[in-house]
Amino acid sequence: MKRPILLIMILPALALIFSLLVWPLALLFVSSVQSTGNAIGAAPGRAGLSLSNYVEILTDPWYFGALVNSLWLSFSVAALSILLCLGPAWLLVRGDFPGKSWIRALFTLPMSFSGVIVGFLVVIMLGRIGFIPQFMESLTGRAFLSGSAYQFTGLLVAYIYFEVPRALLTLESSLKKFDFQLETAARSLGAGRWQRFFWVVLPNLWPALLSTFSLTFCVSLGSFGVALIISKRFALMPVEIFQQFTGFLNTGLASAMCIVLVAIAFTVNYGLRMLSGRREVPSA
Amino acid sequence: MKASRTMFVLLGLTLAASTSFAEPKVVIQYDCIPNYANWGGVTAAYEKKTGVRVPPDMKGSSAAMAALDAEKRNPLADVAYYSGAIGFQAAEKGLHQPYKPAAWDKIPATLKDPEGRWFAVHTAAVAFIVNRAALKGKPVPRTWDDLLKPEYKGMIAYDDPTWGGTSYTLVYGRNILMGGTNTDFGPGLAYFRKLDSNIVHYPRESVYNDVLRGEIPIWINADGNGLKMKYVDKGDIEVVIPEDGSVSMPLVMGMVAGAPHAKETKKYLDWLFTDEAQALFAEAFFMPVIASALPPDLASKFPSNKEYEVVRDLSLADMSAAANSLKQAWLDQVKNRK
Amino acid sequence: MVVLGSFVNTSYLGISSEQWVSGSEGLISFKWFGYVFDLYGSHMLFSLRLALLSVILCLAIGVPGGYVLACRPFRGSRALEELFMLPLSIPGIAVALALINAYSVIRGKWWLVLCGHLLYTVPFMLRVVTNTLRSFDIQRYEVAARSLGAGFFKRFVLVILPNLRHAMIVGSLLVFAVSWGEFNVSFLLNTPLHQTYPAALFATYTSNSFQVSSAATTLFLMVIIPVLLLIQRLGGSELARVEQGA
Repeated sequence: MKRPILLIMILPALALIFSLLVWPLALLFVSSVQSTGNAIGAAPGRAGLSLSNYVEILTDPWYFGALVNSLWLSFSVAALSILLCLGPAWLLVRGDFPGKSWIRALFTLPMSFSGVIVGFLVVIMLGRIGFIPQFMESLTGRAFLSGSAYQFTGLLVAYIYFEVPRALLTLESSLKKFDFQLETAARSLGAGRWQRFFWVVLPNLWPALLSTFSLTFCVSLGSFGVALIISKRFALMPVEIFQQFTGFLNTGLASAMCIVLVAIAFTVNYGLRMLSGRREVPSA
Repeated sequence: MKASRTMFVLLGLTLAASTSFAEPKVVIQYDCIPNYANWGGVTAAYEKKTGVRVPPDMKGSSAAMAALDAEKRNPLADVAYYSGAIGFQAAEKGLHQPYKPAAWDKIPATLKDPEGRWFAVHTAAVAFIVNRAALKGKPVPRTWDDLLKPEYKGMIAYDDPTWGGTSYTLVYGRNILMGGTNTDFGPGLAYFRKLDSNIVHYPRESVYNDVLRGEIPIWINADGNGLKMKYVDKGDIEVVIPEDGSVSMPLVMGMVAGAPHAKETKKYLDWLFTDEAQALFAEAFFMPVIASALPPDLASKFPSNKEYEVVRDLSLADMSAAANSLKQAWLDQVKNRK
Repeated sequence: MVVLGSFVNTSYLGISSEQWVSGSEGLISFKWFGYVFDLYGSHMLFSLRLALLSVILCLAIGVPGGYVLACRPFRGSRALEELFMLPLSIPGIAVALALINAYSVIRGKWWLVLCGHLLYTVPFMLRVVTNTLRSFDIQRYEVAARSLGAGFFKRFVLVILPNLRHAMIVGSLLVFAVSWGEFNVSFLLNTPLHQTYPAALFATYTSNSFQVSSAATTLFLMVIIPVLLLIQRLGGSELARVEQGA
């Protein structure tokens, strides 16, 4: 009814998102189809539009490797986080024990840690002279896991560390909505614990799991702080973008890499959403 | 009533938060790492003396040059600090404006551009910075060839030469030491390819923290950094000038063409050559370019003159001319060949 | 499975917090804190100001916006809501690069960093507000108020806002926490003169000694942990719904 006022109320948000996200991303796409060339290298920029940057990402083993690494890492992190959080989430929803809010607080603490801090923590724990390898060495005489901070394992640990809070909270809230009557009914019909889990709980949780997965995946994909500190020989996309832009002034290539990541994030987000939409189980 | 009171509080906070973003007197220096060559101490002293702030900046030499290049039309920086070769290259590209600081005549001729487009503030030598404790009993390497030994696997690092000037200098220098030339990178790159198997990784930023802790036992970098770790931070560090030869590295600065705060910048540059500032550089064990400014007690802590005999001075012009091609060749042959 | 999961996580958290205590040997003398303040005090101040400004702007943008989205939905408002949530899924560095690319003229200005922060904090505020507004039937109150003759503005201030008080507080705390710890976007958008504290942390992790980096991190945590704990106490469940929606 009061149209003008409503418009004014939502205008700032609209202005924000369009001028700061939509328009710049569009320009980024334009920049990505221009070949700006490597500041130090033998590849000079060429005028005109071309898909050469995208081709380079796909064909150069280093860049493509970085892309694959990023994707695989994000996928693993998302999957493992969900697995790790399923239990605690169940516990937090169903169980009622003293100190529950403390446990929740403990779990969700890392969520707002800056990525750099998490990275540094992992180096301290799992670096060449990390806390854990030294502990292992004092126990067994051999420094297990030394230097693993810079390999896939270490990266996995770091990412999972700050994704777990997010996954946990999301799962917890979805579990709250879960109609436990269904489970009780199944039990009274004689279904065993695992049967109940696979045939009653999981299908109902599926949409929530998918959306948690997509959020965790996307955040991991774009996480820059952690990558900057611990991705050394294990190339990751956000760091490559940074290097191309800041070090080599190759804006075109950096833009193309960004667009690729954005496109992937988009696809995963909406793809999974569509997937879970169709699978919606009506509540009994 | 309560609402309007909260409004006032919020308004007050907004004002408090957004005012005083006005810029104090500043000079922007690209590559002004506080713990490198004591820029932290130098800039703090300058601010105390004049009230002019020179904020820290973490760019490496090549990154600084790239930033200047990107901002050519709209310069943000007033002055930049680099390893000699990169500074020379930046001057060649026209990124600097000529300026001769007050102490011009005291600067040795080889360490300045005749027109004042670049000038050295202090010098260093390429050395091995070794964390003895982290070696766990292994012998301290003394030569470049020692570094190739398999016992140092996973223990050595040198910065990515496409980012940091010190590393570019050492890569170029090693090539020359092995008999290569400005156009023939073969010998040097062959060495670095072999060394790659002992390398932990190629950092794009300082690993001072890692080396001091022992996370990275051997760092090929400027001797000054290692000496600081040893004497100031009391680490179990030994600084080794490689016995089979090393190269010196002048660290230069240039005033950026179109510097936004030109007047303040000139005063700053003048001050950097005073005995006071030069002595501060010496505190981080970077050899002042004005030799007379080196305090005697610090002089004794540097490695002996005999060790420095094997350090060669290289032509900055040559180094700069080869920069692009050597960097690219290193990328292709050493880093990306996996 | 349950026990294992929770045990692993709790112990991990415990160990890492312990690391800080054991690793910060030089911390007992406050010398290193002083050093950090000298060198990076301005960074801390900048981050604090950014966080504060983010809170205020998020309230100004998010509360009215959330109201419109939740109480006066229109065709396409759902899609619009999705759009507002989008930044959370997009890599921070891509956003930063896009901003630099699009607005290269104002690259040297400090408020470009603020813009980046807003993109990542407004969604949180929006979510908290819309969740609260949708969770109980606010329309009834509004109708009641209108039937008593209250105009739009009066209705908004006297009916909606008080009910949103809790959401606004939790939202503000969230925004503050996100802005204080933001690195991905800020790192690239920092100007030489104005840099955020997480960027300073990064500098200490690389080029300074361990004592300095420990001190710097402790200071960071000293600001954020109280905020996070407060959020937990005030609205743990709010947090959950915010995350789920994103």
